[in-house]
Amino acid sequence: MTAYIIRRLLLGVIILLLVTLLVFLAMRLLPGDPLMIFVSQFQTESFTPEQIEELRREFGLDRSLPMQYINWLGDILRGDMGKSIIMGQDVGYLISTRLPVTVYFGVMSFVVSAFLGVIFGVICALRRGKWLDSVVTVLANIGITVPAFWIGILLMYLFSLTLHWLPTSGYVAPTENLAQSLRAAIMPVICLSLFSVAALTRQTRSAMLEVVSQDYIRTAWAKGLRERVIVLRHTIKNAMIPVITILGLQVGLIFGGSVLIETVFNIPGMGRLLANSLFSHDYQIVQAGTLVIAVVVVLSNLIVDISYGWFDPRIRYG
Amino acid sequence: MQNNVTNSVEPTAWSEVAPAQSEFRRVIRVFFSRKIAVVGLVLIVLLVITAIFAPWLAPYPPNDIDMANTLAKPSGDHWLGTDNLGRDVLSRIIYGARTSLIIAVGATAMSVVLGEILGLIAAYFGGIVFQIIMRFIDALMAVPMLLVALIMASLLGGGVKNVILALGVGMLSVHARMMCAQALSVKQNDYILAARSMGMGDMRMMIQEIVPNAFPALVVVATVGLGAVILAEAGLSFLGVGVMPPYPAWGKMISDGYKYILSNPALAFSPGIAIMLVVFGFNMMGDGLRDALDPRLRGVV
Amino acid sequence: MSVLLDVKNLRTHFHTHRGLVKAVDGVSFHINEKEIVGLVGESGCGKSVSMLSVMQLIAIPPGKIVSGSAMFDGHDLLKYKPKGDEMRAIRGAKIAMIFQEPMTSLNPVLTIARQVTETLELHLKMDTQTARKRAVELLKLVGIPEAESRLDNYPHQFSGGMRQRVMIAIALSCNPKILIADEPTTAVDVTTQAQLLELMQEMVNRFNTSLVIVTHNLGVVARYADRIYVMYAGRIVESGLSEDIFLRPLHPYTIGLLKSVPQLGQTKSDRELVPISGLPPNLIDMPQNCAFLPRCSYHKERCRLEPWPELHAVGAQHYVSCYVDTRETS
Repeated sequence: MTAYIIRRLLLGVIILLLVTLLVFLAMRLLPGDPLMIFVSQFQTESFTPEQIEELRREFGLDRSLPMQYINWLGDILRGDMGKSIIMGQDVGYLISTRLPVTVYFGVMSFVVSAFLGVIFGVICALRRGKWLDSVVTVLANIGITVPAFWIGILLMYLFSLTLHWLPTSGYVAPTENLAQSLRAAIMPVICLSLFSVAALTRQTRSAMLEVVSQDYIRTAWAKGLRERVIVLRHTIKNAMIPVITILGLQVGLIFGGSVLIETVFNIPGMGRLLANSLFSHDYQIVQAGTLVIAVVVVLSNLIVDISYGWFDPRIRYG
Repeated sequence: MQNNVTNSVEPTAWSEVAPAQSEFRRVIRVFFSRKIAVVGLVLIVLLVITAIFAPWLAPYPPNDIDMANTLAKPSGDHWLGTDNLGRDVLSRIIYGARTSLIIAVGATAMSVVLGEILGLIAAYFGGIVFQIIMRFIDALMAVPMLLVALIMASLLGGGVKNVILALGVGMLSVHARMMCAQALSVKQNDYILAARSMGMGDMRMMIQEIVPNAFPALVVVATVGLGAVILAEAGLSFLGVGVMPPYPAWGKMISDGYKYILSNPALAFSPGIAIMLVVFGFNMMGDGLRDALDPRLRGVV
Repeated sequence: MSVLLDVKNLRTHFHTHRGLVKAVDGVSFHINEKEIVGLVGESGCGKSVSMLSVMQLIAIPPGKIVSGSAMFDGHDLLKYKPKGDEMRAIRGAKIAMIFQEPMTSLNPVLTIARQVTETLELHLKMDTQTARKRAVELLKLVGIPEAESRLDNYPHQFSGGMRQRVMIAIALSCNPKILIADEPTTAVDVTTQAQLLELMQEMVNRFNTSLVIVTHNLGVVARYADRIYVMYAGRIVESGLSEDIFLRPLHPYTIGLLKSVPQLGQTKSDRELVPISGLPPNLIDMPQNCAFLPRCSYHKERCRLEPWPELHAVGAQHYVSCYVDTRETS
């Protein structure tokens, strides 16, 4: 088991290296010179070519691409994420202030998704073919088609602008005022978790139905067990095995969705930071930010793979 | 969504003796026995018709600016009202179907072709080739698909071609993984060993044996992928890195309409409903195809 | 000898997308106390569905018990709700079942201990410690070596034969009146098959349990069964004491079955094995007349014209449903 985790972590490091390489190459090879964008922001002042060259040296952009990459990587390993060209701030500091906000919403959304998705899926499977199943299944099928940012606008129009029940902007620090913070988080969390709840409901339902038709469930019925015991003890644990896979995918999806949702609700998180940095070609922030997100995704994949073992004793880690 | 007749206790009793049916007819029959799949098919047919016949269906040209009549509420003249430049919203939604369809098909075709080729090569050659390709695919998967597309699109700039490229790269990993897994399992089968023993050449074998066997999975994943591309495209357009104005795109219409939500909510809401209907169509068609072509894919796709 | 279970006119149908399948269509049988009964027929003839119907374990839908009664202990089991307390009090406690596939009949994610003790806790109201002790005894009884240490293993750590022994232990744990073994040995190798059958015989003797062996293999029941029912296409076509069936078979299908399996005491030179020609019938839209007709070498004009005959007595306990007296023809 320990050997397995170590091997998986090494593999994760390789994957993360490739992520940095891909993002680095994309940022440098695709059109758009960040320095020119930076310079163009200051229309009033005029930069002499010498000043631009000075800046280019300062940010290390005069070196060869491989050298730039190696330097950047070395800095990252020392914990230095560099300095943003456009914002003029330390990237590590920027990320450390923005990431917790995204994680705050992300964790809430993930927990809501996992909890509701599994419960809905189990209920549907138990009430298969009944009206409740039909209604929830149709809603789940719709849920995976709704653009999250659109539902955000719709909710905001309804609950903030028309009914005035909820605030329009989405973020109050929980340390500042917990009640306010949770109230403001309601709509963003709904948007971030809608797709995941729907996808998990579908997956759980189908996995439950698959398990219910297995021989060992017939054995359980033949023992005279209560339906509740058959569901809780014999069915759910088996059905969770494929659900875990889908659950793991939600981490990346929620991060991806936060780019949109943080824009809609004006939330100062990683998603908005990344989007804005991309538009201004602030490559330092994009490179570091993508790496941070990839680290979270790779780690959550590892947790998923380890948790299989808890659900399924047949799995051996070797 | 679920097959309702598979739970019987002794299915061998009648399946063994059933008259042989052609595979194609069986697939058609199973697909059309799912009402929801047929609904999906109808929605997609409607989308295609709308896209092709947009100039005839749309009441106004999509970019006709009418500054005297901006942000009009829905009325007899403009069923969904007009936007901030006085353009007819319904007409723009109808033309937007073209944009969505072109991008969905383009990006999916690109991701399927590249992804399947990469997956095939990885699975077939194995060893170091497999390691290199699949680790890059892992790296692509470690970054959320929307972010991959966003990075690509914002660097390449907007426009239909660049959005197709960005989303194509974003979706690539799904197809490569799928193809690799499928090809690996097909590779284990006896008939591949048989083909090899008959001296079939490498490339010929790959194309003749593995591709047709992996085809059902490909069709199902690609169909669901079309819906995913449309959702992602809407996201990119919403963030302003998608299709460039004045070209009508649903995502962009939502973000434009968002600014004028108090004057005319239909501006932001109606394109979203169009997106939902189309994505729903592709998803339900995908579910139906999965049940018809290869029920084992349930849970995978 | 008293009757434990008396099933009358059982009909179980399945609604499939190709039409109505009359899997069991008017079956009557009974099980006596401390008796071993064989229920024999080709796969798909409805023998398993009959037993599952009595236990109300068929999936509804697509299945449906259309008619019939199953009297047990003065009550009609088919009147109980499938998931109700009364039915549950019978299952596992009074009538227990073991199934064909030992590899899939045990829950892969639960320990053997959990799966053995749950019936003890449920039906015999044992506490966890007592149940665990009893589980060890049961596993020892069915011949699982090092039972204590294997209690916390998972099913995948057992071989097919060992898993079927665990299934037997679970089935007998509450000392049931009837044990239904549905193709118990089909999925295991021949040596294990014999061991399992010996074990089951020994166990039912020890527990005073009646045993129903459902099988497609006449050879399996030959040595053990007291009485045999032969099923074809959802109906019982012949029943009788084992001697009747093996020594004086009357239905052409039974005769065909006997010719198609090697029998004890016969050498290869004695007789050739003759498979029954043709395929089992399609159970959808079956004709009114005898379903075995297309495969029958004895048939007469009457079989074509008249409906499938009812069972009629030809001996003290020997019944057959055929218009032809096969003794004359041969």
